[in-house]
Amino acid sequence: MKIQTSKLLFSLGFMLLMGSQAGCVHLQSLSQSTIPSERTQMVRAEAYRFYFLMFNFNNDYVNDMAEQLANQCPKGHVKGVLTKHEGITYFPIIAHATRVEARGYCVAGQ
Amino acid sequence: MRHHRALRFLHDFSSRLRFARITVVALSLTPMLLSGCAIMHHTQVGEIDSQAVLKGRRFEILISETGVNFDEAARVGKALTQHQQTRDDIGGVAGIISLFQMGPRTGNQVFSPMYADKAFDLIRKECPRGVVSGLVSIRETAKYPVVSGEIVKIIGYCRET
Repeated sequence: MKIQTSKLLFSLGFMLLMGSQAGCVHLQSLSQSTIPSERTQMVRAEAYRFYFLMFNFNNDYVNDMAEQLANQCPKGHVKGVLTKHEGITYFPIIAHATRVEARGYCVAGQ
Repeated sequence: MRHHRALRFLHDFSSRLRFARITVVALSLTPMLLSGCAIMHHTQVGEIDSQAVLKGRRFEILISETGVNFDEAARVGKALTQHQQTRDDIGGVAGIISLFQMGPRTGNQVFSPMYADKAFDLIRKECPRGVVSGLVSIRETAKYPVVSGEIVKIIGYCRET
């Protein structure tokens, strides 16, 4: 009986450990603008926020994404921008995060 | 007699202590409830003219409308009354309302479905004769108990020509 209980506890502990390591990612929204013919230089920007107990009081961390992309392509235009907004659950209720990624092509001098 | 007084004093003291505890918890939660949780539903980055973004003027447009969570309102209504018939009536009304609110949505229900339409005019006002670029559009909810702020935020850059 004692061995069975310890086996059960070990299995539960192992499952919890594996569950906490995996994390779940879900796609919240996606958008894509017109893709240019010149697709040589790719630029990328990312905004990320971790939430403890799901407390989040503002979303200002995404405000400078356009500037991040413009800084990587100072003399051109960024076109074909793909914006991906995803939610991540590291551990239910306790640890969550949101990641917004924008990727596009730098087209020189237009 | 003395024993009776002591018991009454103890009873009064414990009820006061309970009230004080509830007050302390409520006061400590108030700033959290008033600040509201910000939930982001959608983000989109538009095409970027780097010169406009790096050398232009940054502007921010905020459009919001009050949203109502009918489930939470019904729960609060039920908690405020002891009368079983009233509780059942509130539950029935909430059920009927929820039948008309089906389908996918972001945030809570709002009273005006056209509140975000003015975004176009507001952007034009911010930059009447220039190039608008680097638009970042964010759809978010500021969540409070029962009500919410259903917000559309647009950040952009204006390069005057």
